[in-house]
Amino acid sequence: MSETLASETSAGGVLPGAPGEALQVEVRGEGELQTQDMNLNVGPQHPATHGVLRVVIDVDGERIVGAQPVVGYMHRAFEKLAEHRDYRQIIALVNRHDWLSAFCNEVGVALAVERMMELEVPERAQWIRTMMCEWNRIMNHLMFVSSFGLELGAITPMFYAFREREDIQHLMESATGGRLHFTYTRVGGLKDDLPLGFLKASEELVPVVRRRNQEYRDLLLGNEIFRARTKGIGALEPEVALDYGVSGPSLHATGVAEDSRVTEPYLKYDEVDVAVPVARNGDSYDRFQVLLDRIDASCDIIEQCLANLPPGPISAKVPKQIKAPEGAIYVRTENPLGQGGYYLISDGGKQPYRMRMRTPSFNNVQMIPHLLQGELLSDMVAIMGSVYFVVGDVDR
Amino acid sequence: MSPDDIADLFVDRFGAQVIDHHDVYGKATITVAPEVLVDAARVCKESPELACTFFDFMTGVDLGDEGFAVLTHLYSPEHRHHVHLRAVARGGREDPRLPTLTGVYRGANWQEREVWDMFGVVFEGHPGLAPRILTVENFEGWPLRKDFALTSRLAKPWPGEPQKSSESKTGGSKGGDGTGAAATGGAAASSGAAPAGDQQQGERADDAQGAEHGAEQAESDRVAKAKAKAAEMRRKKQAEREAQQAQQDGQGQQDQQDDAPGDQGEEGSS
Repeated sequence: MSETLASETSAGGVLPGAPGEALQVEVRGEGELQTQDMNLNVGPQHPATHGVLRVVIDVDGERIVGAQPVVGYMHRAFEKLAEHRDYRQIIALVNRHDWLSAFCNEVGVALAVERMMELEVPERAQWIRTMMCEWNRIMNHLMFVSSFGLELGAITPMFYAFREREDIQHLMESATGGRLHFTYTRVGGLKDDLPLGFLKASEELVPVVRRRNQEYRDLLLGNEIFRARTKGIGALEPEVALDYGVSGPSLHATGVAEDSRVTEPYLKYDEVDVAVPVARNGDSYDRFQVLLDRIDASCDIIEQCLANLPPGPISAKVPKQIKAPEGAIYVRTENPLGQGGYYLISDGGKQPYRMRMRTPSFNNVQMIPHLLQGELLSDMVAIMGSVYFVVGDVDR
Repeated sequence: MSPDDIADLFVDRFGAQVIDHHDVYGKATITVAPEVLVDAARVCKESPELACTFFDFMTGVDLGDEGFAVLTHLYSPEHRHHVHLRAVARGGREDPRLPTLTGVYRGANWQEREVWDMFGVVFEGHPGLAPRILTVENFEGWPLRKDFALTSRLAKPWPGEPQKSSESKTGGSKGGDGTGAAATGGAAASSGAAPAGDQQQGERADDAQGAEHGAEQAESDRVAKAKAKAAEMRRKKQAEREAQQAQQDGQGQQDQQDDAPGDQGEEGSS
């Protein structure tokens, strides 16, 4: 507290309430003001928590000395339910834990089962999956671009970004029939082929998204208030990030370019150029910048998918009852929020014996106390908003 | 490093403490004794040839009578290889215990809390497993153990399921029933296996008689009957499967057209 106290040397007569002097307190006599740590409860419902996350924060004056996220408010026992569903039903299930990355999640499960069954998925299906993953990624990131602006007091990006989000949602709805929970993947391929006009609409939408993304860049990254509130705030070190298992934009912002689309390509990512945007400082500003860069990178991938999309069947021939052979497999994918993974243990039946969902948000949220430690309370929103998590993805 | 090289490194380092190792779809799975688990994790993280600095996730696996295994997945962004570090908890189903990895990886904190919450595996030396991380604080039982029945599926079969196999999977399908119920002490956990379920049904029927609820008794009779039927179906299916298995073994691996294409199990690495 002592740094906020007025010093005796500030001579010249301090007027109470003068600009810049608001925090200064006048003390007469010896000793310091008595302070007491305060316990502050943020959430479960709070604009910066994207769901029902609760954080109990200990503050000493304005400074955060400790933080403890309290998770589990949205626990829906997906891992238990998965043991009672067959593989087709699980695809509908995994749509729901991270509702902003539904398509990327379902692809993960399908890949795990297909690799165990050694199914050969047709080329066309794989290209479409790759493209859909990237559309989903853009949709997800637009959500966080807009909400992060909103959390920092900029309401305009919210309206703007939802305009593109709506367009992309329309596009995906035309192919999948769903707006949020697509359930478009099947083990061995896809539900349907693309509808007429989808490719043309995609081609037209990509440049629009790219142009608008530049607008957000100008609108937010160029904004003085935005820079002041995010530069150097909540800096994460790469070693700590890896130690916690942090992935996605938060990890890339620290300079570590670990992205399973590149290091362990799945689908058609080995045949397209995947740019992994990284930054250096790992602070809120960098995390946001990486997020915007990732939208551009996804646009590039979509264009390559459109150029390479071959004709052909969209589904492999699969047995009527899908049974993964006995054994265990771990498949990881780069989801919009970070590394997603499914560890699947099968006893040869039509239901998994155990399915572990590795979700990016769980590890990312665990790291939040590390970032909040020692920061000012007013920076809390700028930090928590920039880690980009979905509470359903934490609690499963 | 290839999975085989990783396994060799562990065997060199820990000798007989490495209980088992195999290559699972291109990823090394190393089972070590609980005594050396922490050291093994430290080797993973700190040795330059492994350099598994990325802590991915941790999960429990119900092994039936053997107890519980805990699997830690580690990854090296530098060398791009994976290590699944696995250890079977001491103390069987009653009192499963493992040393904590929080001293090696910070990310282990919440992951171990989750394994404790879901399986009841106690991590010795952990800074604080309680309060339960995902379930509510006063929740009883360990939800991901196989003897913890999904009660909604016991009461009513899944709508998409064909009628005859309605209950075949809901009960504890992998053995180890009575012991788990004793360990958890949870009321919900006791309805896992068929005998326990029957007993419960009987009790409920008695209550109903006393309270003059004929309908309830009929209902519970019906459930008991369905359960008996399901148990019989299960036995029959098991026998069928065994017969089929025997037949298949005789034929070799010729018929792959219908189900189970490429039944190669864990050897089938890419």
